[in-house]
Amino acid sequence: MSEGYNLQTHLDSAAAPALAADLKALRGRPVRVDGGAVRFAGTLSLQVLIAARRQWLEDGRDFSVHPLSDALGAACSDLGLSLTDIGGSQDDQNDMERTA
Amino acid sequence: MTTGGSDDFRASFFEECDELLEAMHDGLGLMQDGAGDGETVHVIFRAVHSIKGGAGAFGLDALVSFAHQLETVLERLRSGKIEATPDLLTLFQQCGDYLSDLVTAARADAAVDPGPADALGRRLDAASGPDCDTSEAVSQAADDFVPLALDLDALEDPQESDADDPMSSGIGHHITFTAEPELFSSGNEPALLFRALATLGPTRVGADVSDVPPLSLLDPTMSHLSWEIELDGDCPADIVLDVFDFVSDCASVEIAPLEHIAAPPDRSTVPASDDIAPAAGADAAAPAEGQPPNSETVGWGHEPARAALPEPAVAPPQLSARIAAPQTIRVDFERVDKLINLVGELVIKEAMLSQAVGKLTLNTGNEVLQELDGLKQLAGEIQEGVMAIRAQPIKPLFQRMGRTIREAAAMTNKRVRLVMKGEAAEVDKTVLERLVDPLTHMVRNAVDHGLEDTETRMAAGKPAEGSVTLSAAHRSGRVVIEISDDGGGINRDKVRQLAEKKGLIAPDAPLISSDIDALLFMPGFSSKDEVSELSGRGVGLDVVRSEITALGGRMSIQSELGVGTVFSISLPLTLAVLEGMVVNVAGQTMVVPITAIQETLQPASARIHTIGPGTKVLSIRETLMPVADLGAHFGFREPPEELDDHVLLVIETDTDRRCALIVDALQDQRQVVIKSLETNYSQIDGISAATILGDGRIALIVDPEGVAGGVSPVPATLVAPANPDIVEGDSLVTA
Repeated sequence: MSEGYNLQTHLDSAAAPALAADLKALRGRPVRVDGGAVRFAGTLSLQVLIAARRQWLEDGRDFSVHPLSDALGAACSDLGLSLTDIGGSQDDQNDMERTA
Repeated sequence: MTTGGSDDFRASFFEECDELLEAMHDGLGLMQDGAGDGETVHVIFRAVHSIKGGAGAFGLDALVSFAHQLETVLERLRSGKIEATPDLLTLFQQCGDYLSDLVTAARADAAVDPGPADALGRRLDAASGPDCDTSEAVSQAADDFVPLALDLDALEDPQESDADDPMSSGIGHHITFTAEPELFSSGNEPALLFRALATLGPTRVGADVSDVPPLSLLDPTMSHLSWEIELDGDCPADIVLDVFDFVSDCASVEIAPLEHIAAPPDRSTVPASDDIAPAAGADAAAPAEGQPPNSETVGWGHEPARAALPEPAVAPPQLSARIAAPQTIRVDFERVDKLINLVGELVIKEAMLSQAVGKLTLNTGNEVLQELDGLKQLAGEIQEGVMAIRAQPIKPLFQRMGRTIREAAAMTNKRVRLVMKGEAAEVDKTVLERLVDPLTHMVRNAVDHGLEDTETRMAAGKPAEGSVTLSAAHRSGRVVIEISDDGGGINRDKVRQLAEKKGLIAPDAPLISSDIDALLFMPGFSSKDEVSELSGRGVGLDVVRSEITALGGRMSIQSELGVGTVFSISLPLTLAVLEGMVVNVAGQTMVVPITAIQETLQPASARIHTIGPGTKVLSIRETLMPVADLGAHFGFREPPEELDDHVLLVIETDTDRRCALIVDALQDQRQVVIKSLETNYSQIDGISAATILGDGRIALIVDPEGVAGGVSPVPATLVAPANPDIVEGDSLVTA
C-alpha cells in the first residue's frame, strides 16, 4: 500500500526544506506523490524530488509523482529536466513532449 | 510577475536600470546633437539589451517585449541596414521615454498604458525596413521558452545532424551554468535566466543531475545541479553574459563558441541512465570534432564548470573591464540615514563636551582644549563626509527634464533643444527628489511662456530652434540651479498691467524691474492671457517658489526683453543640517531658520503702534507689518506689554507674508542638526522640526510660514507714516 503525499501549490526555494523533511518521514514505504496542484516549482524543490526518487531507488521502494500539473511539467522543461528525473513516468514525459 | 523573496535583487536590478537608462539617454542625446557614432549606437543597444536581459530574469514581460522591439531596430542601425534619420532619432527618443515608463511601472508593480507600445511598435516596425518585422521578433521574445525536440541519435552521431540546423553551422554559444546557494536565497531561479537567454535565440537546456545525492544526504538549501545550454545565433558573448549579470556573484557561468565545443558531457559518466536530461525536445547539438587549442571561453564565477569544455582563454578586453572590481558599492539608503543620524549625535555630543569643558575655565593651551579642537575638526570632517554620501549628481534629474521639454515642445508646436551644464554637481538625494515637480513646472513654463513661436523667433532674427538651458553649480556652500531660455524675456509692461487688472498692486505703485518680476510669484498670477493646456493655471510660480522655500531654497529672476529669462534656484546642499538663529523665548530655546530672517531690530528704536487691544504693528520703511509674540503664539505666555527688553525678528516667508516676531534674546547663529518631529512625534503647526543643543536640551525649529500664517494681517485701511522710523543704524543684524 503506497503512502500518498500531496505537493504544495507553491514550491519555491523556501519550501524545499519542508518538502525534504516531509518526504524523509515517509522513507521505507512506497510513496505516490500527487503533483496535480502545483502552480510553481523552483529548482531546489525539484531537486528534493530528484533526491527522493534516488533514495527510494536505493531503498528498493517505489516512488512516483502522478499526476503532474502543467506548471510542474513546464518547470522541469525550463530547467532541462526530464519528468522521469523527479519520479514521473515515461508516459508523462512522452505526453509532454507531444504537447510541447 | 516577480520571483518572490528577492526584493534586494529586484531593487538592485532597478538601480541598474537607472544607470542603463541614463546611458541610453546620454547616447540618444549625443545622436540627436549629431555627435554620435557607431560606438554610441552600440552603447544604446547594450543599455536596452541589458534592461531586457534583467527584465527577463524577473519575468517583466511587457518590458522584455518592448525592449526587444527597440533593440531590433537599434541592431539594424548598428549594422548599417538603416540610416539614422531625424525621424528615427525622434522615434528613439520617444521609445526611450516609454522604456523609462515601463521600468518605472515595473518598479512600482503598477500597470502601464499599453497604447504607446502598440503605436511605437508600429513605427519601429516601419522604421526597421522592409526585410525586418520587429513585431515578429517581439512575439519571439515574449514567448515563453519552448525547447526544441532533442534527437538523441544525432547527439551520438554528429554527422547525422541536419545541415540546415543552426547548430550545424557552428554559430552559437555553449554555456555552462552552476548556481551557488546564495542564488536561491536571494530569490533567483535559473529557469527565469534560461528564459531570458531564450530571447536571444533558440536554446537547448540540459541539466546534469548526477551530483544530486539520495534524500538522506541532501542539504535542501544547496544546489547539486548544473546546466549546459546551447544557444544558436550570432549574439555577441557579452550580450549573452548580460543575462547572468544579476547573479554574477552567486553563480558560475562559462561561455564558449559552439563550434569549439567538443562532445557534450559523456552520458556514460553519469551514474543513472537518465542522469543528464536534455530539455524536453530540441534538436541535438552537432559539435565539431576536436577543438582548436585557442578556443575562446569567457565567463565568471567561483569555480570552473566541470563540463568537458575547453580551457578558458583570455576574455575580451571589454568583458575584462566589466567584471573588474566595482568602483562603487550600493548601500541601502536607510543605512546611510542611520549613519547620518549617528554623526548628528556625534556633533551634538561634541557640542555638549565643549560646553562642559568651557565650564572648567581651563587655561588657553591646555591639553584638553587642544584635543577638543582636534575632536571638533574631526567631527566636522566626518559630518561633511557622511553628507557627501547622500549627495547624488543632478544629471538624472536634468535628463528627465529632456523628456518634459520634448513633450512641451510637441504640445506647443515649438522647436526646442535642451542644453545641460554642470550636471555632475551633486545635491542631497532628498533635495533631488523634491526638485522634480518644481523643475518640471519651470521647464514647461520656459517652453510654453518663455520661448516665442518659430515665426516670431525668425522674425526677430533668432534661430528657429529655441533653447532651454539647465545648469547647476556649487556656490558658497549651496547649489545654484538655473533654468534659462533664449526667449522673448519678461514683458514687464504686460506683467504690470495684468497685476493691476487683477488688483494685485495699486495703480501707479512705484515698482522697479525686480519688483515687477517678483509679481510672477504672486498667487494667481499668470502672464498668459489664456490658460495654457500645458502650464495651466492651477499651479503657478507661487507654488513652485513655495516648494523651493520648503527645501530651504530661494528663487530669483533675471530677464532681458528679447534676449531671455533666467530663473535661479539656490538650495542648501543637504536637509540634514540648517543654518539657524538660536533665540530665547519665555525660558525656551528655539531656532529660527536664517533664510527667513530679513533683519533683527531693537523695539526701543523701532516704532511700534498699538492699533487695538493686544494688536501691534511695526512701522518700517513706509510699510506696516504685524507684530506677533513667538512665546504667545506657542502658548508659553501672554504677549508682553512692554517690548523694550525684547528683540524683533523681521521675517518674510515664501508667500510674501512679512511679520515681526517678538523674542526675548538672541543667543547665536549656528548650524543645527535637524531632527524630524513627524518621524518621532507628529506634525506641530508652526514647528518644522527640532534639534539638540550643546547643553543637551531640545530646541524646536520654528516654521516661519506656519507662524506668519497665524498672524492677523495689517488692515488695509492703515497707512504707514511717510517718514521712516527705522534708520539703517538701528538694524542689529541683517540676514
